[in-house]
Parts: sequence; structure tokens; C-alpha cells
Amino acid sequence: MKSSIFNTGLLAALLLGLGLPAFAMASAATPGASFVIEDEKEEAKDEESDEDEDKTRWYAVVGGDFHTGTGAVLKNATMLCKDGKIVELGYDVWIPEDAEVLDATGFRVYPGIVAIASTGLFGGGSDVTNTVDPYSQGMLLGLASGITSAVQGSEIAKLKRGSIDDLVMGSNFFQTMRYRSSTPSGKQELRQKLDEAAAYLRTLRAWRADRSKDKGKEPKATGIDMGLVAVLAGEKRAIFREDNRAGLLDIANLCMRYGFRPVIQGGREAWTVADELGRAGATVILTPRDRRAKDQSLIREGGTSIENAKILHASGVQVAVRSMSTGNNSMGGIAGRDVIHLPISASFAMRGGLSEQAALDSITIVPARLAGVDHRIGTLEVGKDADCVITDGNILNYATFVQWAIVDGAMVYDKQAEMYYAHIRPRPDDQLAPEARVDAGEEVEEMTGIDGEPIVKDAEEGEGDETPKEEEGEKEKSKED
Amino acid sequence: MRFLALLLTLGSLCGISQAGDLLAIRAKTVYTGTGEILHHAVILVDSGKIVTIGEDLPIERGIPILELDDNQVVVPGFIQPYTRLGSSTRGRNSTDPHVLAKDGFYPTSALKEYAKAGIVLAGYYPAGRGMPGQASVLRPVPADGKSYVVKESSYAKLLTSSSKNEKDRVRSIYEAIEKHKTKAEKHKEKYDKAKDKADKAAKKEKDKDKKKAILEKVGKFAPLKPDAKNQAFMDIESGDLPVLVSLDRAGTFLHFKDALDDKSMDWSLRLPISLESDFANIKEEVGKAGTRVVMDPAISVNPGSRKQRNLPAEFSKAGAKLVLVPRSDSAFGAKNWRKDVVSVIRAGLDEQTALSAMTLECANLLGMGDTHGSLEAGKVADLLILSGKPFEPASEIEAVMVDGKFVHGEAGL
Repeated sequence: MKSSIFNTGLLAALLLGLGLPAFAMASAATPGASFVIEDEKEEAKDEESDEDEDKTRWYAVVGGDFHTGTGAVLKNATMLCKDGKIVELGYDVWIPEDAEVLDATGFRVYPGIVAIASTGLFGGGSDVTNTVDPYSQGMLLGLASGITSAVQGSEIAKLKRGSIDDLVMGSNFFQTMRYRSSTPSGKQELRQKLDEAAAYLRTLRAWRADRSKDKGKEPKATGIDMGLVAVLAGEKRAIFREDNRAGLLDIANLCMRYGFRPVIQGGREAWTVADELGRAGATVILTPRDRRAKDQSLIREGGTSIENAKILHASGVQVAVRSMSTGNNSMGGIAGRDVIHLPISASFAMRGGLSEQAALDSITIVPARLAGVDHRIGTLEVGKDADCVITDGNILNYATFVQWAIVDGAMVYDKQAEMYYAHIRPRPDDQLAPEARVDAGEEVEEMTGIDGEPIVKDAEEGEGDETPKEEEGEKEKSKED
Repeated sequence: MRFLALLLTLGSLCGISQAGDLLAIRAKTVYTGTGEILHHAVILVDSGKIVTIGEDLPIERGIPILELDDNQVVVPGFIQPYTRLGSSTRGRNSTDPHVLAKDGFYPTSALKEYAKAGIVLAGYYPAGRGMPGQASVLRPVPADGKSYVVKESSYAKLLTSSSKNEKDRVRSIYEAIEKHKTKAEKHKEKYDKAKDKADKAAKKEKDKDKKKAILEKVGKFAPLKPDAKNQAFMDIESGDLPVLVSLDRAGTFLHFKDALDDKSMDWSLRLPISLESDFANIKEEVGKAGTRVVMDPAISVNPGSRKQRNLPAEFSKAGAKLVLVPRSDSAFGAKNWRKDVVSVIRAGLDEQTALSAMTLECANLLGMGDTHGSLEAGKVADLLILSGKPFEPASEIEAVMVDGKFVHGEAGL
């Protein structure tokens, strides 16, 4: 992967190098010779216009400890993004000259947080594409808390300040189901519908697999719940709201019977049936701060437990964390309850014993998986969208601030540029970069100039005003030689 | 004024023939509205227009002279390009850019108050949400014998917000044009077919009269005329009908541009300044494009931070053409207009820009910049006589001249 990127970069550099002299030649050509140059001229022009229109956008985060979300921590590594995608993540990365470089030395880099439920982060209504307010306070505070993508209503979209383009990544990924003892008839109805859907799916698959010519028309789907078919076919996830042990067991049994993996929202007593849920392949969206005493009339275990997430995770249940309140995206919210304190919600699960990695997963890759966008976001990996947050400490620590947020390879939040948290422990520039900002161009010089001369000298020479004119003349001469 | 009459009678007695309306105004200070200040200036007005204007001009004998006091200042008449002139702003939510606002105009007694506040021209916008029609240019108090309506159509109003319906409304303009185009093409095809048929039939026919009759039946091609609405849509696309786009917040600008896509439209922006307006976010882009922005002369605060912002000055500095309208669209608002502008000047807006934002830029928005809005030779003589510099709080409007005639304050001179 690395070499191929290097090649494309090199190619771009070569093209640039070739393009410019060609253009210079063309402009310098005498009118008499113009017919020879004509083609080159046009080519040069084409190249120029191409550059303006579809210029490759390079962005590099240099230094910093990359908590990729895949289990790996790459210390003092470099991430290179091209047109909003991660193309390189590792060491000795070649950075194109025109790349925008962010020096994250001394900071941590995490995948952007994915809020599995939110309201108000997009400053508009349910139709994000058409109603988003990319300058809204909600979006700013969301980014300041590290959220770069969020589910709102039936959509999952990105938080991109100042842009309304390509925000929505997916929609309608959940099929809501009810399977509760309180309505036995509803349970029976759901089972019946699932039976019908399964039968339909079987005939449909058989019909599709049949290669004979006289296989007839596609089987009719009248009376079939296509949402259930999508769930059985694995195209959608079924979501149940359930907190009680008995209900959770019922759901686990139902899902094992029909062969699909449930998503459970709530799951207060899930820790008491963790094994069953694990076997059913469930994902639980829980709120670790939730507190509810158990039903006193029962002898068995029940109620909430701070260990809920830990126990579920140990049984193979994927855990996603949602905030207690999805709204309150203002400065007036209560820490750990509103959506802009999602990492704190996750750290409550850690308090109950969940590993740090699983806690991070619960607000990044697991929600991304639920929304069906784990191929784009949730971890820092080559090929994925360049969405990351750069923090001054562990993102699951309350004391930590998000310093920068990057979405689609462009900076959308800078703590020091916004009013909200700029005054709290302001980022001193001198403290930031011990090795100074690594300029894309300088790194090459550093590699070539091994003669022991400090690189600073080059920088001084660049400032033409300070060097006497005579010296300049000498330099020019030596260059000519 | 008495001495003027005396001069006039003298003039007629001496038998010097002069056009009835000729008048020379001599003032120590004249703000032309183009950024210039003239000292010891003379404005020569004839038949409602400024003939010449300049410093220390000699005045021909016999021309009546209005000699102003040293403290008095002449400025162009103020233009309120975005007003309902005291009538209701309520209306339907519709897409009717062909409707003219003047058809809903009914003069009220409040108009005199607008004139007293120095407003000589008003862009009277149509009531309603969406795209309710085109603004008409009216005289709050016209000179004797003249109509209220100066210009029937100036700009179409579009009130938009961040929603699918509003974006679709913008798109519908261009969809309607496309529809009409295909319809017109079909109309042409139909005619061509009939014409071909008639030509062939005429060829076969030997009788000359019958031949003629067959051809006459088809007649000449008349292109399909768009209805008034489609015509307005087409005028919007061609730029003949500029559009004033009213935004509720900065984000809507992005949605508006997204809906517009690459389609053409000559638009200015109405950016209503509320306490926590977030328009600063689009300042650079709007400024760079040199777009005209219609704002209220008000200091707002940055959303969230409560940091004070002077958005009119910021947009002007960024390169936008600034138009300032009264903070409240009422006679009271008109009266306080100048005072509100003073508050943004004190917070950093350039004084000449501010004057232009109340005069020439307003005229430009109404498409009347070459005839109104500033004191220049050849333009209409709409001017105000103030008791001091235009943005001194103590300055009062002492007289208002419209079309070369005083409509207010004549007696005091």
C-alpha cells in the first residue's frame, strides 16, 4: 500500500514538474513557431484547469499517538489523507508538498466518535440533507465533544462545520420490532409475520437461484412485511426496546429461532442474561449511568448494574453506549447525561470494569457497525474516511479536551478558534512542537542534508531581505556555475 | 422662500425668460452620496433634474437662488428599498414572481411620516412568504401631480429557509423554464409539420387562390408565448429580474446555493440582523463575490460568546455592497433610521459607506442607480437639507425635495 501511494504522489509531482515548464515554453514561444507548440500549449492549459477544478486535497496529521480503534496504538506516527480518505497511517510517510499539515506531536489521535442517538447536533429537522445548519451551536458543541458522526432520526450523518455536502451516510438501517409479554397477541403476530417473511425469502432465493428458462415470474410479495424480509436477509438490523430480563430472554430465543442478530436498546437487566444474548449475537445499546432498582417482588437478580457493559462484553455481546438524554446539546446540560458528554457515558462503563478498548469501541466502531457504515468510519484505517479527533489526553477522561476535529480530511473544529473552551487551559504554541512544525518540504531537505548543518540555516537564507545584496549576487553566480 | 418669490417676480419683470422650474441651491457642504463632499457647492435644478453640480460655480443672472445657511448640509434623498410603507406584511405562501407589489398598494396617512424622515423613494415589496412577487418603487409623497408609482418592477422577493420545500421552490423556477422550453419546441414541431403538409398541398394545387388559401390557413409561425409566471421565471434566469433573497440564518445561504446549483440568477441578499445573527460565517464568501447585502443598522452579538459584532461594517470591509434599512419597518423606524446608522458608524462603519448604504446602493438595488441615489448631473433632484452633518445626532431634516420640488419643510427655508 505504502509504495503505491508513494508512486501516485511521485507521479503527481512529476506531472506538476512537467506541466509548468511546458507552459512556460508555450508562453515564451515566438508566433512563428507557435504551430509546433500549439498542442503543448493546450495540454498545459488543460493541466492547469484540471488542477484548479479537481485538485487533490492532501491533509497530514503528523506526530501524535494514534489510537486507531483496531487495538493498535501507533506512537508518534503520521496519517496522510487524500481527498478525505486515509491513504497512509504509520511511519516514514512521504508527505506531498502541497499537503496541509497538522502537527499533533504530544497529542492523541482517535477515530471520530459516533453518536448512536442524537437530537439537535445538526441544527435542523429530521431531513439532514435539506435542513442542516452547519453553523449551529449544536454542531460546534458536538464536534467539541469529539462527535464527528451522529444518528438523528433514521439517518446517520457527519458533522461538518461550514458544509452541507455529502453529510448523510445512510438511513433506515434499523427495523423497529416489538416483542413484549405485555401484548401476547403482538408476539404471536410478529412470529407469524416472520414465518411468512422467511417462507417468502426462501421462495425468492430459490427463484433467483433457478437458472432454468421456464422458472416463471418473481414470487409475489403481497402481504409480506418487507422490513422483516430485510432483517432476515441481513440487510437491516432489528431493534428492540427492552429492559427486562424476561423480555430479553424472549428476544434472544426469537432471534436464534429465526436466525438474525438483534439490537437491544436499553437492556438494563441484560447482564443477568448475558450468555443468552451473546449466543443470539446481540448488540446492546445501553446507558451506563442508568440507575434502576430491581423489582422487589422478585427473588432473582435484577435492576441495573454498573457492571452491565463489562459482563455483556465478556459474553460476546457488542456494546454501544448512548447518552441518557440525546438532546441537551447546549452548555447547560448535565455532564454524562447529554449527548455532548458521550465519552463520559462510556467511561462510566469502564468504571464498571469494561476495558478501555471496549469503551472506546462502544462509541466508535460499534455504533458505526449498527448504522452499516463501519466500512467508512469508526476506526482509523487506510481506506476509511479521514474522520478523527485530536485530544490532549485520554478521550475517556473527563479532563480531556478535544483540540481539533477533522472530518473528511478537513479541519472542522479547532479549540483555540472557538469561544467555548479556548480559555480553559489554552494551547500554548511554544509548548506544542518540540521539533517545530514539520513542514512537508523541509523533511526532504533534512533527509538529504546529512552534512550536519542545521536546517535552520536554510530557513534564514530564505529571507532575502536580511542577506546583503552582494552575497546574493555571489550565490547566483555559484548557482550558474 | 419669500425672497425667492421676490427674485422670481424680479426675473419676470426684467423679461428674462427662464424655464419655470429652474433653481440654484448654494450650500456650504454637499454630500453627493458617491463618497464625495463638495464645499461651497452649487446645485442647479431644472425640471426636476440636476443640471449641474459643482464647487464655486457661477450662477447666471436671473436664476433663483436658494441660499443655505453655513451649518446646513445637502445630502441625497434617502431610499428605503425594503419596506411595506406601513401596510401589512401578511400574505400567502406562494411562488408568484409575476405579481407586482404596487397592485396591493393603498396610500395611508403614515406616508407623510416616511417623507418627513427623508425617504424620497421606497422599494415596496409584496407581502407574503416564499416568492410573493416583485417590489415596486414608490414615492411616499410624490411631487405635485405625479404618480406614487415610479417603477412597477424592481426586484423579486424570495424568502427562503433551510428546508426541502424552500429548496424545491428555487429548483421549480428552472424546472418550469425547461417545461416551457419543451412545450415551445413541440409547438414549433407541430407548426413545422402543418407547414410541410400545407406546402406539399399547395404545390399540387394549381388554382392560385386556393393555393393562397391553403398557405394562409397555416399562417406565419408565432412562437409559444410564456404566461406571466413563466415569463417572470425566464427574466430571473436571464438576470433581467434581480432577486432579493432573504435568509433566516447563515446555513440557509449554503442550502440556497445548493438548490441553485449552477443555474443563473442575479441575487442580492437580505440578511436580517437579530441579536445573535450568525451571518459572520458567510462574510468572506459573500464579500469576495461583491454581493449586495441588505442589513439592519444594528450591533449584534456572536452566537454563544456574546462578543459584540458590527456585521454591516464587517460585510462592507469584506467587500460586500452594503444597503442599510430601518430596523423597524414603520414610520417610527424610518424616523430612527439615521440614529441607528450612527450607532454602527460609531462601532466602525465608514461614514461615506453608510450614507451610500442609505442612498446610492439602495437605488442600485432597485435598479435605479443611474437616475437616483446620488447628487450628480443628470440625475433626479431628490435631496434633503439637514441642519448639520448627516450623522451628527443633533442634525434634523429641515426640507425634503422630490423631483425638484419641496414636499416637506419648504416653509422653513
